[in-house]
Order: sequence, then C-alpha cells, then structure tokens
Amino acid sequence: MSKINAFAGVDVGSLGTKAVILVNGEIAGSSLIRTGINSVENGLESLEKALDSANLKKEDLKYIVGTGYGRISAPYANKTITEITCHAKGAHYLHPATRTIIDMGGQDCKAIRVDEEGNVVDFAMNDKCAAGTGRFLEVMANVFKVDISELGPLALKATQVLPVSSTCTVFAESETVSLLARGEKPEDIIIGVHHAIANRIKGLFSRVGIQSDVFFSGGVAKNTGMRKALEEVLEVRIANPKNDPQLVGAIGAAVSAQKLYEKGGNVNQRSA
Amino acid sequence: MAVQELELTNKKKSTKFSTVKFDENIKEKIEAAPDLVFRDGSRVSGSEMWRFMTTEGPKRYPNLFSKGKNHGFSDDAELISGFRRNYFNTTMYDRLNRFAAKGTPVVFIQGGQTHEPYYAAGGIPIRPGQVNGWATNSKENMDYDEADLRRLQIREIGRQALTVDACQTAKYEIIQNELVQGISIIAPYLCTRCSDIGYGVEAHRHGKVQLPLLPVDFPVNNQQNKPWAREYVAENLRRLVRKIAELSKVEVNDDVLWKEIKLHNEKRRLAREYLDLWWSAPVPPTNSQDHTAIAGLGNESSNDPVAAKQILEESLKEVKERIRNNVKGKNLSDDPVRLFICGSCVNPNPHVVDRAGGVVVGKDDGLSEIFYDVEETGDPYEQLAKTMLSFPYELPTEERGRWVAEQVKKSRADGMIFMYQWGCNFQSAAARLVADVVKKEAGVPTIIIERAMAESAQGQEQLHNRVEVFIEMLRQGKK
Amino acid sequence: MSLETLVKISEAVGRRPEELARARNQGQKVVGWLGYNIPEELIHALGLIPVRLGTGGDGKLVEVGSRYISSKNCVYTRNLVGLFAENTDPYIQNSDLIALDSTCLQLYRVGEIIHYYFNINTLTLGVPRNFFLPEAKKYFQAELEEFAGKLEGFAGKKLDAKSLSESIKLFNGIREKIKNIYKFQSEDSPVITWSEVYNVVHAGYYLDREQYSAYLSELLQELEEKHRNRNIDIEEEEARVLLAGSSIPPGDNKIIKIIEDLGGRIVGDDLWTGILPYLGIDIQESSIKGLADAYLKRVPHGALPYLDLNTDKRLQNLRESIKSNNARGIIYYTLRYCDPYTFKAGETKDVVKQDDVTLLEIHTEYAGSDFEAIRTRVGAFLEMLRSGI
Repeated sequence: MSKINAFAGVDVGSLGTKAVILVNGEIAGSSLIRTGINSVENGLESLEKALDSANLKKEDLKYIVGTGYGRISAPYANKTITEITCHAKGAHYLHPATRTIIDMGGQDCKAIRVDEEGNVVDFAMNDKCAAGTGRFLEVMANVFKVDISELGPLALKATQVLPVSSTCTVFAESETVSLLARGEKPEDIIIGVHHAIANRIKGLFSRVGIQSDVFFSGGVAKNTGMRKALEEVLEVRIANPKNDPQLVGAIGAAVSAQKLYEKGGNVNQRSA
Repeated sequence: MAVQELELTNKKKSTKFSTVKFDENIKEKIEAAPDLVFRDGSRVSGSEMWRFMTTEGPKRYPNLFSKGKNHGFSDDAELISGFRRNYFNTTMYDRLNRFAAKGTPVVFIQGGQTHEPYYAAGGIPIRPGQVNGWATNSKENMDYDEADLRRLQIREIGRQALTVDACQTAKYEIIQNELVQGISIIAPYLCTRCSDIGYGVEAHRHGKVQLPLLPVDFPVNNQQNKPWAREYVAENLRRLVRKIAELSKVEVNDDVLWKEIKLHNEKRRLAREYLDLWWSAPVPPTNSQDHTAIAGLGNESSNDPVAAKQILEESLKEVKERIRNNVKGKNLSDDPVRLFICGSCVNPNPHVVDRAGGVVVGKDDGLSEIFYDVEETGDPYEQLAKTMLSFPYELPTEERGRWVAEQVKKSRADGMIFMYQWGCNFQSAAARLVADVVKKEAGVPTIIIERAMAESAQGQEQLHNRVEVFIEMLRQGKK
Repeated sequence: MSLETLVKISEAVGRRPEELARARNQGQKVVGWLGYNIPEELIHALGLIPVRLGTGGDGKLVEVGSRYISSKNCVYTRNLVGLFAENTDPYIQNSDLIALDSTCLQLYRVGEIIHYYFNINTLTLGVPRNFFLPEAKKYFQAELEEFAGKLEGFAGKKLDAKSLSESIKLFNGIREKIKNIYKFQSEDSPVITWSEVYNVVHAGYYLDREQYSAYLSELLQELEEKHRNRNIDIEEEEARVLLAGSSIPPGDNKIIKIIEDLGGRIVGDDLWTGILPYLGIDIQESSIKGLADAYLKRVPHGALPYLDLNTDKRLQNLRESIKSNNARGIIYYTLRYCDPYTFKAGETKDVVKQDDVTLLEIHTEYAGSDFEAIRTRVGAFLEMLRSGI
C-alpha cells in the first residue's frame, strides 16, 4: 500500500457529485460534476477528477467513504455514511466552532446540531416537499427566466417583500405566477420566495434549536440572497467558510475516512 | 418569537391599491341615522361613524380601507346598514382592547356554535378568524401588502411551532407569543367543524403562556335525542360558565342565561326572516359580500350582541324596502347564477363571484348555526346542549347532505360549491359525500374546491379561476 | 423463524379466512371492528366473533380510497376506504357488521363513507373527548349500554353475566401474556425479535380468541425455555430504538424495514397497533359499567386531547417504556394528516429529552417516493445513537 496518507470522500448528491482528497489532514484535491443517471459512474468520475487535481492515483487512497443519495450504490467506497453525519464532520473540520449547520442541497435541506467534537446531537430534515431546496430555487429561476445564480442578487434589489407561501413548491409556484400576472416586480416576488424558504428552515430549527456558530453548507449556500434572508429570519450571523460550501459533505466523508482508518475500521463494512 | 420586522433599504408604501372613499351623497343619511347602542349602554352617533370611517379608520388601518379588484368593503354604498356594519366590525379591535384592559375575560372559542354561555358568564367569545384579525391589526398603519405579509408570517409561526399539516394553529401561536393581549381562557367546542382545534388546545399545555384550558365536548353522530349525551354536554357547559364567571366575577344564575338565550334567539329569528325574504326575492337585493355578512350577524356578534342585533334589524328593514322596489344588489349581473356554499372557514371571494355573474345565496355552516332556536323552557343548559347537538352542520354527513339539498332547493341555488381549507381533515372527508347527496337530491351540479391554506390574499388566482369556471358552466346550463 | 409456535400461529392465520366463512355458514356472526375503544369482551360474550380490521401500506388502495375520502386525510383512513371499495380483504368480506368508535374522528368519517358508498352495516360507539371529566364517565357508560343493546339485537341474544365474566377473564389473560411476550424481545440476545412479537399481536386480530390465548401460552413456554438456554452475545453500541406515533397496521412495513435493514434494533413500541391496547385495563366489575370505566381509564389514544402535561398517562407510559426497554432513541412515526400524533411530536421530543433520549420524527405517507430520504434520516439517527464515527 502507498506510503501517502491519503483519504477520499465522495458525495453523490441529487444535482451535483463531489469528491475531496485529504492528504495528511489537508485538502489536496477536489472535484464537482453534475450528477447524471448512473451514480456509480458519477462517483467514480468525480473521484478520478479529484485524484487528478491532487496528482494522486486511486491506489494511493487508504480509505474511501461514500455519502449522499448515491451512497447506496458506491462499490468504490469502503464504507458509506449518511450525508448528515458527513456535513457535521465537514463543517467541524472547516470551522471547529460550528454548533449548528444549515445544509441546503438539491432536494433536501437539513438542520443539524453538533457538539464540540463535531458529533451530531440532533437534526431535522425537510419532509417530502421540495420547498426550501435547491430544486425549489431552480423552479423559481425558471418562472422568472433567469439563471439560478442571478436569484440572490435580484432579491437584494427588492423594494418590498411580497407574501409568498412556504408550504409547498407547487403552491408557491402558482402564487408566483399569480403575482407576476398582476404585474408585481420580479425582485419583490423573489425576495418573498427567499423569505418563504427561510421560514421553512426556521421551522426545522424549531425542533432542534439553534446555537452559534452557524455554518451554511450545500449548493444553495452560494446564493447571497438566501444567506441574507436566513440571517434575517433566523436572527443569527452565519459564519463565512473559505471553501466551496458545496464540498462540505465530501470533506466530511474524507475526514470520516481518515478517522475510520485510524480506528482500524474494517474495510468493506457497509452501513447507512 | 416575534413577527419578523423586515428592514428593506429601498422600502416604500405600496401605491397599487386605492383607499376607499365613501360617497359624500350618503353622508347625510349616515349622519341622520340613529345611534348605535351597545350592550353597556354606550352609544355612537351617525356623525361619529362618518368621522371614523372617513378619517381615523383609513389612517389607522390603511389595509382595511384599501380597495382592490378582489378586496375591500362592498361597493354598495346605498346600503346604509352596510356602512354601519363596516364601522361595527372595524372598531371590533378597539373594543377587544378595551375589554382586555378592563379585565373582562376574552375567551378563545370555535366557530359555528352558540355563544350564549360565554356572554352570560361575562366573557367575550372570540373565534379563531377574529383572533387572527386582532393580531394582524394590532399593528397599525400597514398597507394591504404589509398586512397580508404579516398574516402569512403569523400563520408561519404556528406551523413552525406545531406542524406544517396544521390549519388553525396560527392562533395557537398568537396566544403563545402574546401577539394580542388579553385572551384569558381557551374554551372552544370540540365539534367536527375543525380537525385541529382539539390538538391546538392541547398544545398550549406545553407552552410558555399558561392559560386555563376548558374545551366543551361535542358528541358526534346525531346524539341530540340521547338524554345522556345532552346531560354530558350540559354538564360541560355548566363547568364552562362557572369557570368564566370565576374570571369575570359575574354572578350567573339561570335567569341571566335565559336572558342571553332570548337575545340570541331573537337574532337567529331575524336572520332566518332575512334569509327567507332574500331567497324569495325575484331580484337579489344585496351582493354576495353584504348578503353573507348580514346573514352572519344571526350568530356572530363581533363581541356585542346588542349592537349586532340592531344592525341586523336595520339591514332587514333596508332589504325589505329594496325587495319592495325591486332593487338589485350593487355589482350583481341580471339573473345571476345562484351559488350555495358548503364547508368551513373559507368562502369563494365575493368580488370574484359577483364579477363572474354569480351570487352567493347561502352557506351551510352560517345557516346551521341559526337554524334552530334554543327552546325557552326547562333547564337552560340542557336546552343549549340539545340545540347545539341538533345543528345540521354537525349531523352525520349523509344527513347534513340531505339538509343542504333542501336548502339548495329552498334558496333556488343553481349549483353548490364545497370549499375546504388545505389540511382540514374533517371537512375534506365530508366533501364528496355532501356533494354527492346534494347532486342526487337537489339535482344541481356541485364542485369541490380545496383552498391552499398558506396562500397569501393575493396569490389566489387559481382558486378564483375555479370558481369562475364553475359559474360559467352553470350559466350555460341556465340559458 | 426458529420458534415453532410462530410457525403454528402463522399457519393458523392462513387458515382463518376459510374458518370464518365456515363459521358463518353455520350461523355464526362476525363483527369486524375499527377504532380504539371497542371492548372486544362484549362482542365475544355475545357469542359473536370479533375481528380487528384494517391494513396499511398499499398505495393502490390509498388511491382508490382518496376518491371517496380526501387526500387531506391520513393514508391509513384512505387505505381503509380503499379496502372496502375493492372488497378483496377476506376479513372484510366475512364481517357481518362493522363496529367503530369515535375516538379518531377521521375514522368516524370512514364509517360514514363506507356506509353510504358500499352499503356497509355499521354501528358507532361514542367516545367522550373530555374523557377525564366525571360527567364523561356517565356518558360513556350510557353509550356503551346502548351499544351493547344494539349488539344484543344483532346477536339475537341477551348478554348474560356468566359469559361476560368468562370473556373478561379470557381477554385479561391475553393482555397479560402479550405483555410478557413483549418483555422477551427487549432482552440482550433476544430469542424473539420485536417484529416477530408485532406479528403475533396482529395474528390476535384475526384468530379465534380461545385458540389465540392457547398459542400465546405455548409461545411463552417456548420463549422461557429458549431464553434460559440462549447464548448471550452482547453487541456493542447497539442502536436500541422505541417505535412510537401513529398506528402502523399490518402491511405498513416501510419504517420497520428501513430501521432493521440499517441495523437498528427496535426494542419496543408505543403504538395502538402494538402494545398500547393491552396496557392499563383493570376491569373492576364484570358488567358494562365495569368495562366502560376500565376502557376510559386506560392510556388514552392520542386523538383524545389531554390538557395537563404532568399527569398525562400517555407520556408517563412512554417514559416508563423507554426505561424498561432500555431504549436510546425514539423513532416517532407520523402519518401526514394524522393530527393527533403529529401535533404532539415536538412536545414529546421535549419531554423525553429529560430522560436523555432523542426523538426522530418521520412524517410520511405509504408511497415509496420518500424511501431514500427516510433511509438517510434513520441512518443518521442510528449513527448518532451509536455515538457516531
């Protein structure tokens, strides 16, 4: 086996597949690709790319942890762990003072509470409906005929917050269409949508509580309007991580890989 | 948890809706009308009403005085009792605040039921919808959008505290977050009208605001003729009256209760007389909005049954006059499509109905609560219990459907809309059965419409659309 | 299945529909019942055959049911209406009367719907929602008297004190045995799993009650013996989970399967389709009044609101159950639009926190579309209980 102390985490999400390589506890490489139909291939492709960026080969890896929705079919991983645990580990790695994580991914959002060692102590996840997820914002971007990355900046231009309901994507979409038909300004509706989502997230936290520092991870964390809406609605400051927030799950998986290896975790053990 | 106050750098008041301006032509009539007399003997003159409705009101509540295509007071300015009713309803929040300040127990209740026990015990009953209005308007000087947003945010707090499946819960959070001051006991009826109220009440036991909780049980399945069911409800009512009287320090004996029952019987009789007249009129004398509101006075008192009764009497007189002169309600089309409504807590938008060429003739829960008087003999609690248990809205669904079918025929309705709130388990479960019985027994088309609970007041085009399409369909059938 | 009695029970359940059909041919009547407060003793004492109805987990039946009841009713009630609409369930086919109670008002609506649309002969027992008030006791006694009278009419015979007392004895025995069987599943290296016990409970919905009682005795004997001779192999960091919340009727296997597939161990339940109906019944006198009082004093079903947190028997029982089964977490399973349990989720979570127990609410329907999302939650929850990585 290679002498390099390298570990990998692969996070196959609903919209994006991410991989991170950890060498001697430092991030040495990463990749982010769009998730296609075959999650095994996506995971492998992402892993290869991350290895390339770290100038390593697969044989150099001592342990691989798979996470995300694609973890059920991740034959390349020594072990799979849920993305909830991985986000906790990843956020703790990047910002050890983290006690609360808001993760907004493609098809779900999570409220996670962690202790000082990054162990999950409580969590909540959105139910079936897509309100409060990246998918929801994609639907909205589609209604407004803008790129998803433009939603945040548009929201910041609002002159008033128009009421939009938050229970369900379908309702919210039809309301949005109603409001547009009435000639309301898109930015006022968009900020309403952001607030509706923030309210859903607040709902998740009503069960698990919130404590500083708050860490925002997942693809949606790149949206500045969402960040501001969350800060207003949750009445908290959100920490500013340097790394791409979309990689946090994969980072957590890589960190877990190292820990499991050090613990002598048996290779090829499957769990969640 | 506070309702979110949003700070936007480029915030300004919305100008997209106008403010209601009452026609100077009616000023003279308003000012000449007799004083409105309240239960405590206080009076409000016509000129005071004119002043409030034209200067103070619009300034304090721009949202309530806002006028849009689908919202705002009725356009029927000629209806003087309508103006007076709007005054009465708009000043409800001030009265509630005064009651609360004086220590009069304000009681959180459930709709669709008799209110006598609450008033007799010296309490002020307030329904979930009114609690919502009170909380929303406890902040003044909001434009229409701001009030709409605040309403939505209040609901959201409730859902966050309990569950997204909830409907009535926002009121739970209004009480728990003290968005209104002065509710001193939570004592609704546990009827099948609402599937959330019982669990909403129960949730208060874990809340930071601890209030007495005393729901009145409501045995389902047509138990009016079972002596043990009547006795059980009567005993619950006695308990309720004792508890409220403890808080109000009012002495309640049977005479006090009888007096209250008599007053409410009179209101119910007036409302029935009004409905019979309206239904038999060749031309509908009032539009959907005024009609529903006038009929509603038969049970609802906006915290003053004496004044409510006066307005009901005045409305009846005016409507009689209109029928005599063949006057049609403002904004109604000729020969409008007549709609009967079923379900709880939600109505088709009356502006939309009228504009689409329809008119609302009646609603099953509003009708149910005035359908029977309380018999003025024997034990008042037992009689109240018997009347409550007889309300047609609470009968087994098949029987309720047959009763609705009769009312559909009597009111010459062209079609029936069963509308329920998203998340309302009991009404949604009854919708198809009622609709099928009505279709079979009254031979009119029916439609079931679900209203998304969380919708803002302005995001309802889809809902309006369904109502409009149904009216168009009935119109074609009429030709 | 290593327990012989379980095989016997399962075979007996397989034979049961035919047995019921035969009994009916010979003039016996079957009372299928739904709900939470129907005293089976009464049905049994009148020589009628009680069968507890209701299954779940069938997406197709849910769709069929939604045509009559709405999509804003819990999937269990939709599934039920679908069952009556399709009429393929042998127990429904063999029921001569459907008895229901008004504990859960959505279920009450089911009774109305199946009567109107499928011409089902129903009988409803009223249950007081303010069950804790003294006047509720009188009301329920009178309701049960009336219900019993109607059952007598249906059975064509009068209730006699001797048969009632015998029936009560039989059902007391069943309840005792079920509680004892439950104890075995939460032991270390158990000889019977919770799932197996759950199936035994469900077998009791259908089987002849005397025969069932005998099977339970046999099973207990077998368990005691196997338990004495078992190899103890204590698993480290076992994720011991108590299952609570809305009913999980036969056929609804989603959450159970997910927990077990992920290596979680269910060590008990707090369910009306599990142990709850067997708890806290103490029938003081062999009469209808005695039955009414005892049923009203049980751990109440969640559909009956109770207004004082500190004296709530439901929560007391849950906390005792956590302790006696040494559970480390609760999976609180709620069906969408099952308000009685959904509204209490947050409060229950706060209450059990005092015992250092975490609660995960799974809010779902029968459809499989959220299977993966639930797997993730349950997986993370089990990871958390095993104290992480």
